[in-house]
Formats: sequence, structure tokens, C-alpha cells
Amino acid sequence: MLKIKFKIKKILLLALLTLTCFHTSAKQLYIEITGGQNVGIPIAVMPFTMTSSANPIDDMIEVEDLAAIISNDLHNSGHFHSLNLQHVDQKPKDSNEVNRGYWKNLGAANLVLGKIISKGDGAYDVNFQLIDIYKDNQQPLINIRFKDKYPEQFRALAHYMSDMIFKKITGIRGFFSTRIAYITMDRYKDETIHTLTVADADGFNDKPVVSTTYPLMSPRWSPDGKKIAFVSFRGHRSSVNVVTLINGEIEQISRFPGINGAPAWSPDGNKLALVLSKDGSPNIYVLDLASKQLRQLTSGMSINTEPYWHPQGNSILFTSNRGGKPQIYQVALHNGEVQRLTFTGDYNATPSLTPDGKKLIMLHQSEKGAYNIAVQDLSTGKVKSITNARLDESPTLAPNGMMILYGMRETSQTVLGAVTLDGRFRMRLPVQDSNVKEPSWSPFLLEDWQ
Amino acid sequence: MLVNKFATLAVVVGVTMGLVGCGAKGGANDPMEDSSAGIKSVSGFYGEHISSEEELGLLNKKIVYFAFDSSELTNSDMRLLKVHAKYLLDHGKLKLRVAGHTDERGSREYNIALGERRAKAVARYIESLGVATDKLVVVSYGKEQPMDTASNEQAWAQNRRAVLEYEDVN
Repeated sequence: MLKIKFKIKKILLLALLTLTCFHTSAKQLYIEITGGQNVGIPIAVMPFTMTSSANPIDDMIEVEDLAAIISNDLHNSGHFHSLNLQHVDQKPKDSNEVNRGYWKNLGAANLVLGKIISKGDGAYDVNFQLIDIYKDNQQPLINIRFKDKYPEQFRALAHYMSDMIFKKITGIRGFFSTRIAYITMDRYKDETIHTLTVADADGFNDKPVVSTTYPLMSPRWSPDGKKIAFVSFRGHRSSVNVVTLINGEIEQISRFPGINGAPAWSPDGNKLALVLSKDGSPNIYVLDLASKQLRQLTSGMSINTEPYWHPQGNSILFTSNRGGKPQIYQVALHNGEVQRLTFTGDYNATPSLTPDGKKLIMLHQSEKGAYNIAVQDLSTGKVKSITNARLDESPTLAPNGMMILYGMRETSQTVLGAVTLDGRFRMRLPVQDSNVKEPSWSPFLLEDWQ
Repeated sequence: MLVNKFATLAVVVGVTMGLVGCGAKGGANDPMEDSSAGIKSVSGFYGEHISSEEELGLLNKKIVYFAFDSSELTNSDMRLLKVHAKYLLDHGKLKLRVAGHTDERGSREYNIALGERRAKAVARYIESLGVATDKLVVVSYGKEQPMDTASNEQAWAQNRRAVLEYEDVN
């Protein structure tokens, strides 16, 4: 179990009074690494030093432990191994104080140093440096000062620094400033309460968005990150709805007789693909959100569901049993032509694609009958299962294509799982005393730190 | 050979009587018959004799179970649904909501579609007995509302079901 460590300041009481440091929310996801602990690039993230200000009250205000957040972000991405610095006795304050031999010995490839400077009026400057241990006599890879930041911005700032580090070293944009949505189910007296929750990608800052006594399903972030489409069973009927995150307003989009389900936003955010069975069997329709015009995309008597837009916006992947059993197909928007994509196994569903369109992620039933998350290389057709429990479901991909969140059934509860695309690094994310399902990863969100 | 022909004749007569049941007279002392508005012959409608006690018992049974990956109705399911169909025909102010469910295996949205197949199988059978389409509503919950939350064959069998629930027309 990876424990998230916080630096406790001298006055413990005041620390307890501050925001966010502890797991207080009922629907928070906890992170537990279950495989591939040490597979990443070794990095040492030193605790940030804090300069005292003239005002003693400032020293008593607990701020988020930036180094701990960065360290956990990088480690939990599966691409870095954040070294344990318990026994480190070096305290370099700057890149020119770094004894590279010491860090090489420790096995670190990179070192992160940071400084928090109190400005005295409740604001802080935050400096940080990313140092490549193996590049002697070189400037730090990153050397930056963020000016006039307030404690309530610290957590988000730490995630931004993690993104910068990730991008600098791997060349790929980090997902640490993204968010996730998921649905929890809690027994309360005689009822089950269903809650659509959003949280930071690391599970912190969870906030309920919609809470009901009837089931909720299939949450999906809009491309601009401002809305979430979802399925509701209000009034014993299914409907597709959209909630605006900033004010909680819910707009009902579709409530035809029969199935209203599986909403999927077009890449430009102007259309919603969804599943309707009002004309007979479940088929894929595309709804123009402005004009409310509906276009039927698939037809026939089979089951057609789970639309997923190709990142280029010109075709939609979907699950269909038109061949007898559920498989994944692709329909071209310009002429309605359908192509089958999956040929391995008897059950392939819930399609999604990596941002480059080269890999298909899906729910795949193994020969032994287990339902697992699998990745299919679309150029070779090869399928690889990357999870191995009995009943997995609902994969959602990080916007940088490097991590999958999904649902897992355990003996007495449902939890979320996370896994890198090669299957090597795995995590388990339960919500305490609750059942959690159907995660949805947000797109990259706008950040304005400069 | 003769027995078979007799049996066939009996079936033909029974089915014919069942089809014509709506107008014919049945058991004179049947209490259900006295209160019913349109259906005069209980056995005529059912094609067999069902006592009022059994009828009441069947009316209180509102769940039909299904085999894995199937939306097929058994003969005993159809018998149960006949009783509910008659009840709907006798009570014009009622609507019937049929909710389809699946076990927990596989994709959630795909299971919504499978659940609908089960609910539709029930609704279509009831409609075939003369109930108007607008008296039936079909909804599928897929795997979202299991009866038994355990993760084994027993629980799964309990969850593959269609549930009948009466609603007021308004």
C-alpha cells in the first residue's frame, strides 16, 4: 500500500484546521499500487524548502506538501519511480549545490528541488528546478519561478509542475492536471444513492455533481471539460442528460420511448452520438446539439451501442452483435459504410482509441470466460489483454493515451483499477465503504499558470 | 394413432375456444367473472381452467426469469403472463411497466440492450393476447439494479429477469 506522506508542521492543531490535507470526503478514491512498483525512471523529489517570512503567522499556515504531490503524481503514472528519501542526508538548495556522485549512487536519474518563498501578505513565490543527474555542468532542465501564488492554488500548481517534469523527460504531455468523473452507489437505509462525482486525476478534491435515488450511467466529459453527459433512470425511464459543472444545471437531451443511452461527444463538442431504440432495435444516432436534429447512423434489427468518435471526427466506432456476438465495428460518417474491427474472441465491446488512432482499447472476453481490458494494435490486429481479474469493464483512457482507468468487480464491492497500456503498472482505487463504477477521464483542461 | 388424432382435435378445440374466449360464457359461479368488465369467460381466455385462487397467486408473481444470453419465454412464463394480460384488459386504467434486467457480466450499455430484449419479449407476448400497445411501457436497467449483488451463478440467475409493475395511466 502506497501511503501518501505529508510533512506535519510544528503546530499540529493549526495543521488540522487547514484545507484539504486529509481524506475527509465520503466519495474519495484511494490509490493502491498492485503491480509494477519499480518500473519507472528513478527520480528524487526533494521536500521543498520554505523560507520564513517576517510575519510569524505566515509560518503557522500549513500549505500543501508540493514535493509529496509531485512525487506521487510521477510515481503513480507508472513511468517514474519516486525514490524513498527517508535516509537522504543531502540538502542541496540549488542545482549548483548538487553532489551528483551521491545521487548517482542512490540510483536517481533526475532530481527535483523546490523553494517556497513567503511574500508576507499570504502570497508565495514557488521556485523549482529539474536536474538531470547525468548531465554534469549543465543548466537544469527546468528552472522556473511562479509568482504570487496562494495556498488554495498549491495543489493545482504541484500538478502543473508534475506535467512540466513529465513532458520534459518523456516528451509526452502529462495528465496530472486532468480530472475524472465516476459513479458511486451507497446503501442508505432502504435505498441506494447514486452519485456522479468529479475529482482530480489523483482522487483528491472530489465533489458530488448529481446525486439521485435512481441509477445513473455512462458519464462522458465534453471536449471543453465544462459539461458531462450521462444516462439517468428518473421516473423509471432512461434519458440522456447533460450537466454543466460550473452551476450544476441539468439539461435533458433525449427521453424517447425505449433506450436512451451511451452518449458520446463529437471531438468539436457540437454533436452527441447516442443509442435509441425508439424505432425498433438499439441503433446509433447523432444529435446536433444546436439544431436538435437527429440523424440515424446504423439500422437493422441487431444491437448497436457504445458509440465512440474517432479523434479525427469522421467515423464512429461502436459495439454490435450483427454478426451474432458483440464485436466492434466502425461506421464512416460521410457514407454510412460499416467495417468490422475485431476478430479475436467472441465478445469485444466498449471501444475507444488512443489519440493517434493506432490502438483500440476494449472490453474483451478471454477464452477462459473472464472479462478483461485489452488493447488491439489496429495495424497488426494483435490483441493483448492487460488486466486479468474476472469481471472488468468500462475502460476510459487518459487524454495522453498513457493510462487506462476501468471498473473491477471484487468479492464484496466494485472498485476502479488503473493500468498502463503495456499492462505493467497497475493500481487499485476503491472508495471507502462504497461501490464505485464507470470512470470517465476528462480531456486536457485549460491551464493558466504563466 | 387414434389417440393422437384425438389429442390434436382437443388442442384445436382448446385453442379455438381460447381465441373466441372473449365472448363465450364460462363457469357461472366464478367470482372474478362477476367483477370483470370485458372478459366473461376466464377459462375461455386462458384456454384452460385456472381457479381464482391460482389466478390471484399468479397476479402476485411479477418476475419472469431467463437463461443466460436468452430472452425466451417458457410455457409457464406464458401462463403467468396470460393472467397479467387479462388483468390489464379488465382494468383499463392501468398500464404495465416491464423492466428488463441482466446479470453483471460484460459491458453496461450492451447489457441495457440485452435487458430490453427480455422486457420486449414479455411486452410483445402480452400484446399478442389483445392488450393495447399504449398500455405497456418497456424499460431496461441492464445490470444496474441487481436483485442479488453476489458474484456467482446463483445470483446471476436471480438477476436475469423481467419485472412487471403496474402504473396508473396518468
